[in-house]
Amino acid sequence: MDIKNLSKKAISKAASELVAKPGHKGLLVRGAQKSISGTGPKKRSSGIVLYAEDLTVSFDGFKALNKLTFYLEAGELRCFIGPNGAGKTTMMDVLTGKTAPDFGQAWYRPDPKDPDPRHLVNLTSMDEVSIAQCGIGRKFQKPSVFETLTVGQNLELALKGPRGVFDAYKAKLSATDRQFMEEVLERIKLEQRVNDISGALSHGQKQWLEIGMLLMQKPGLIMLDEPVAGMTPEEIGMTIELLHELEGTATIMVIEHDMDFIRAIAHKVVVLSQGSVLAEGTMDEIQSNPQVIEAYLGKGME
Amino acid sequence: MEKIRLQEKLFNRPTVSFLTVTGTLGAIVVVLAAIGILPVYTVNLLGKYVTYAILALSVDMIWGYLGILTLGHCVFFALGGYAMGMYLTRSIGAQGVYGDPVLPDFMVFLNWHELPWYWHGFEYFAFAAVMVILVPAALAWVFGKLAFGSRVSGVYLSIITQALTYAMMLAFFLNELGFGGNNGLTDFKTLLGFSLSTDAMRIMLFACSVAALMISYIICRSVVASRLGRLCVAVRDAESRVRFIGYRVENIKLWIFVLSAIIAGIAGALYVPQVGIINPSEFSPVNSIEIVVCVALGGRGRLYGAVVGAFIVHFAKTCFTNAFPEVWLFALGGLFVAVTLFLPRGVAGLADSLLSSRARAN
Repeated sequence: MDIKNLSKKAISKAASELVAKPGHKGLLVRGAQKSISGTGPKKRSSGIVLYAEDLTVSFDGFKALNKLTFYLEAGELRCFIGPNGAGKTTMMDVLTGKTAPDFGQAWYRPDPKDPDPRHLVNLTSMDEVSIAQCGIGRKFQKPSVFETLTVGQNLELALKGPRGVFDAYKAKLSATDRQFMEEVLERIKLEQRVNDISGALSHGQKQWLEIGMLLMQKPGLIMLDEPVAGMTPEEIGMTIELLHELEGTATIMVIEHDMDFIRAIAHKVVVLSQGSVLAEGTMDEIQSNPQVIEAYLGKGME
Repeated sequence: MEKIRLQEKLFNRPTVSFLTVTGTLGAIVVVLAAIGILPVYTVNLLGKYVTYAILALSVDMIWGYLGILTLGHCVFFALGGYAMGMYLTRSIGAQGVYGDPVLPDFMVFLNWHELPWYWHGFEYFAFAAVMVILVPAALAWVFGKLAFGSRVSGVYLSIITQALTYAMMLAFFLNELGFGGNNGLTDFKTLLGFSLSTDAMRIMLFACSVAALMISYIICRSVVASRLGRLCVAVRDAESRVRFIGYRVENIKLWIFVLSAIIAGIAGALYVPQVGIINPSEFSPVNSIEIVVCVALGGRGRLYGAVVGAFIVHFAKTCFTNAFPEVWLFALGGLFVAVTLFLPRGVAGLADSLLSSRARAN
């Protein structure tokens, strides 16, 4: 694995030196991305749904992401951990169109069964709405549901379907949609609360409702930013169950600080530090990795 | 599992009550005026209130449901009014002071010899009626496309809407623009060939206004009761979240804004024949703020609240401006502060909580 990582890094370094020229950063990089959009990602494999290559974001000189490169296989569940400020949330911001990267590319395969590289979409050139429409759903760190609408209405708005203004005016919930909504309600254990105003839910229930809204979108790629923050141990247990059920039906990215939770769900963990990948592997490999221990605890603690 | 309730009926209880009450009161006024018990002056005044109520309804759509505080909605009201005023001016024909069969009096006075191009077509009622809808809609579309497209919101948007109506007011003050300058358009004689000064015509205009109010209400209600209405509320509460589930928020805002502008334009078109004049003071920002106060007083986000508020505020305005005209603006400001402090959900909200506490007591 180390060798694979090394070669990837070497290639990306060479590529970034080719494209990046000091002085005209903003403009030139935008142009560069457009020219890249014809060629697609550097790595080619039909099993990969997300190609994140060399993603770099800086805020006032501070590099929140520094040539972050990783690939996601279709249907896998990948956890991202790392100390505060490692760039985990910024990574999701870039992939969902909330933040524009200074450099780098992110390609997404909307249909994992379609191997044609021409059907990949370039996430860095899309806004958050088009990214959401092509099947990437995100749950935010802070639960954000529509508080004055009922649980059912929240789910209804998230339901996958046409997103135009006039479509919404004419929209009627079909029997299949209703059945699907009932399934989702059952999964997120909010059947009894379907007609309640969502502002009245507990913190954990709001987290679930948000996960439910993600499910309604039928996304190909789900991003969860700290899904169990503020949940009781019981609720965490139910969330773990839910994620196991989802595994394989969609590709899932999870950011969490709760190590027990990650141990329970993850096969493969990525450790981010200072905006790039520090280590990749199983939880055991990660926990015995001296670099990871150093990043978390600092050099002075040895 | 509990039955999922997503959608309210289009004609739910408040809607049916509103339409029944409005229709009945409207009919009573028409009958009383027709048999001569109610002075036609009062009917005319009520007709004016009804057009303000339609305007308030349109403001409630975008402020109450979408959370966009517009402080310049009278721009659409006035444009609709001018479109109607142009038709009424063209209908004067040779009966004007200068007797010119084509040119309105103010153009003869300014020594113009030809009708400006944008005055053509307004001799036909149908054309004017289309313009009543099209002109406000076009302005709202362009404004919305620019403002919502560049994600201007909150206080900044409120200020821009106010600047828009102020700029329009200054523009319409210019004689060169060809809309009668600060005198505006007036001295109307006929509408569709019938004299405007007869009692029957005034009662008719009142009845049309009431009908327009009821139709606008049903249209707004159909939006509010649809998934689009729930989407509006979602935009109001958490705009960025709506984007992340894949809706183009700027389009939602744009189309609701355009719908609201059209309704405001129709209100303006009904207002002008009843007051007999349209001049640039209708663009005044104070008018737009008055309408916002109406909606706040009546209760945001429940449609009928806006209508109730419009009647209360404009009735108060009529009383005040008769008794002590100089204190009206202070009274209006005081009313806004009082409503914000003591009645955050407005009169309709107060009625709601009274009803629900009585229901609980039973």
